Amino acid sequence: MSGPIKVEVVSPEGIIWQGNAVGVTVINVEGSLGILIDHEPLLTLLAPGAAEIITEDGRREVMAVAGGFMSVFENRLSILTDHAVMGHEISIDEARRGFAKMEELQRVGDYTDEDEHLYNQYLAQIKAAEKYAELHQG
Amino acid sequence: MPATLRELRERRKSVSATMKITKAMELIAASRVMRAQARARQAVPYNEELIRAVSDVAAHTEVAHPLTLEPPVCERAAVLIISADRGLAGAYNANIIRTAEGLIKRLEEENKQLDIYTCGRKVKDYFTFRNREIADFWMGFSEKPTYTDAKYIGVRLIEEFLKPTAEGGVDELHVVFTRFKSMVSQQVQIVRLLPLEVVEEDTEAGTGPFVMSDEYHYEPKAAVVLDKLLPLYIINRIHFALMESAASELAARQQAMHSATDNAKQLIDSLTRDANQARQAEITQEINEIVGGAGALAG
Repeated sequence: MSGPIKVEVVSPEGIIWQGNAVGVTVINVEGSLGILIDHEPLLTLLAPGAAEIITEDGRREVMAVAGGFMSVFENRLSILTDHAVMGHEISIDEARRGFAKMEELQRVGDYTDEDEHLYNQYLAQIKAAEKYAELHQG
Repeated sequence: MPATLRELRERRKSVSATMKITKAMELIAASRVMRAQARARQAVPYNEELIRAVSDVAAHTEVAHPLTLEPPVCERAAVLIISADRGLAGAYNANIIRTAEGLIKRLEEENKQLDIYTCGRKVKDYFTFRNREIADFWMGFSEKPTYTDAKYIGVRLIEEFLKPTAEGGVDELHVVFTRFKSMVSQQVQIVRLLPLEVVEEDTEAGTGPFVMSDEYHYEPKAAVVLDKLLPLYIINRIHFALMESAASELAARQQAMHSATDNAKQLIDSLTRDANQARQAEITQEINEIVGGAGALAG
């Protein structure tokens, strides 16, 4: 029962990425986690950060995932998140500005659940953008 | 004595004014239903993946969790009824209320106490007008529900669910909403959200036969993961129900307004004919009078 991992990254806004992969790296609450073909069934909480997918044809896709869940079951991997965006679509300056604003709010103490969401989104975007830049330099 | 010409013309004028309104409402509903439908469709992949993940987990885990455990006896059930804020949508609201009443009767026959939660002004009005108690209500977003709206409802209902029964907590949660099947067909559905009854909504999303030997692995602990996943699942299901209902409401309104416009057209046609006839009768009568008068003078 081997074969590529069928990956689906979905957010309430729709499917962000879909395809076959040979490996997936995500950041979960305990650290960095790599998934290869024939991984055991797993359900894990994701931390905001970059997810990297190595596709069947060897490309490396980077995307920002702002927390959520990842479920792995019989070579089907789904990442369910409130917010995800592909690496090449991120504007790092915008994300940094947003992140700074959220940190400021945190200090002032006027911090709502909604802001927490945005905080995670920006954090994930920054991490993904950095990783993306790293990959595309070399 | 038939209506006078002036009366007929006035009636025709008022009907055409009404027709303009119904026509405008039809067009508005038509443009919004597209968007509502697109939004509902957009959310399908997320919803499906979530349902799949939860059903995989439910099928492959032995972990007992308050949200999955079936209480030994169910004393209290909550019903969430999702309707529109406005009428003028044909039988849309009436169908919801009829189905909800059926569910309420069934649950009462099973000797369960009921808490009724309503979403949308129409169904709230229905219950308050009849002096029937509702536990809580939400309204003002039936045409364009957001995730935040769903979250308010979900959080409140999960809180009620987690309360011990002795303190008025509920053991079951049912949702009445309208499934958008197509522009011409919407169907009221009852779904039991809690305790979790994992239903595969779309068979085409088909998950093959399960291999029962595989036990799920959780990171961090199962309880922590399930504590997060299951509320998310509930809120998402409510969000999806709200969006389907919104699309259904708009489609029903468009249809209702379309037939109202058609009726108005027919009415205008027949009033025009009546008015023409009355006008002709008046002219004929006048000629008759002139000819008769001339004849009398000549005679």
